[in-house]
Amino acid sequence: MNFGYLIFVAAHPDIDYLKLAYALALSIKNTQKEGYDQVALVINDKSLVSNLTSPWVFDKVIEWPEQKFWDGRSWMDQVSPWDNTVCLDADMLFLRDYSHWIDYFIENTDLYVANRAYTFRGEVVTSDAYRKAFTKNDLPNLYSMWTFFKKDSGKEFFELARQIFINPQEFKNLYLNNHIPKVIGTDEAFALSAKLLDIDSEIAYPLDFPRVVHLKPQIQNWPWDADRVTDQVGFYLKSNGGLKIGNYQQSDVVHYVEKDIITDELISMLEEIVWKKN
Amino acid sequence: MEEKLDLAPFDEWIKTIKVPEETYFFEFDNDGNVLALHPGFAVERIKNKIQVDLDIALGIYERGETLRHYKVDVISGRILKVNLSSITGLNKIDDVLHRVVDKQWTNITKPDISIEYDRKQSMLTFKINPLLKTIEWQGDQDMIFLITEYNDPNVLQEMISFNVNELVKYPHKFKLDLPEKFSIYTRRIFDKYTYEDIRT
Repeated sequence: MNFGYLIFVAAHPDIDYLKLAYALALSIKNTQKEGYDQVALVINDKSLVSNLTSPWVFDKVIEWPEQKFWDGRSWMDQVSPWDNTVCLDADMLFLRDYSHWIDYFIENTDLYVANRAYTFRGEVVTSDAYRKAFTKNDLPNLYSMWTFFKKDSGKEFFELARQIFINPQEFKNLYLNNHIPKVIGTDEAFALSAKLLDIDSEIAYPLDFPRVVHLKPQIQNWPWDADRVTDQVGFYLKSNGGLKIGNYQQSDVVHYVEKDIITDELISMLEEIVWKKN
Repeated sequence: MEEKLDLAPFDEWIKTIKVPEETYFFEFDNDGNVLALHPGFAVERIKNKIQVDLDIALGIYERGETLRHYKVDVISGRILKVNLSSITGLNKIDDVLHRVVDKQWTNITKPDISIEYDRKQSMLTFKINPLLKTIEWQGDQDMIFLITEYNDPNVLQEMISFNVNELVKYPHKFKLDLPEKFSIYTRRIFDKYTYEDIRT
């Protein structure tokens, strides 16, 4: 039974998602122990990977041009090459070894979706600033940015999520009319799928992990409005791969949201660490 | 019958034509606030106007500076450069704790402030863009630089402070033994700062 991470990247006119996925893969290689550091990349054009300095950080590269939707993560169960998978958003960074989380999930569950996020100070996010559709429509608070699943499990869940994603208008009108979201992303699709199948207590029961710091500005418990987290606090990646946000040392997975955080300099720092390790 | 025009041949004309000098003028109000930037040929009827250097004009046209970066001292008739923080307010962490970017990681070719560290001499040198020397400086004039652990302003190693007017007169040099990797942070009063590690 193997385990690996899965990252989808989509073509975008302004954002280089491959660069973000590369930074994430480098951080996984830098921090996870052997057997827990495999990374598969799903991309529409495989040839782009060869432009990276260390393309080997992606253990598997899956070319997947069939799906035309903007977010392919609803197809994660069909695309993953692993027996046990954690599907991640591309704009995340790993900062320490989290392999003990994986051991728990492999042993205890077939499918688990993160249902809690943290501020950069380590507080549980309680604000629904970006999740009105969840609270108003009584959806389970799922975050698809960290989804564990075993091969061939959760078929109904993923299939229904795909249908929701493909037919957003119909599902919005039927089930989300207390607060209609502008778009149905993977979070909304997963949450509605879990609610309709009545499995949210099975796939998103309370746990103290995975711990993912979600750097959306309006949920950081600041007493003022903010457009960008990095307008308020600095983002300081150190040569050893450690990260401070403001003066808070980070140890959880960081979902940084602001894509321009990943500069060429930051990539070079992550590369240097991985080269020294290997 | 076709009329023959008495025109000088083009080759002759191009040799003799005098291209007018490219000039630019600020139009300003009675308080010295800059209202507009005009090319020289369009200012004849404008009452409050002052000629500006080509570099200032290009700064506005090409480098994203705005008219708010400048003010006219109506008494002395000089152009003043306005402090960045007095324009924007200190709204962002980057205004009060700006990381000076290493030259190898930026496209900035003409920084306002350039910092070099000569490892052989252990000399840290601060220079101001010579084009800024001709401009009167208005606003806060104290420059503060924090030499910190690499990419971590929480770990301070040295603090350097001097006045911008002193820097206009001559480059500032400090003899410092700095580690292989360090960062420089500053309170941002100019737009563009760069740092270069000179190892030869």
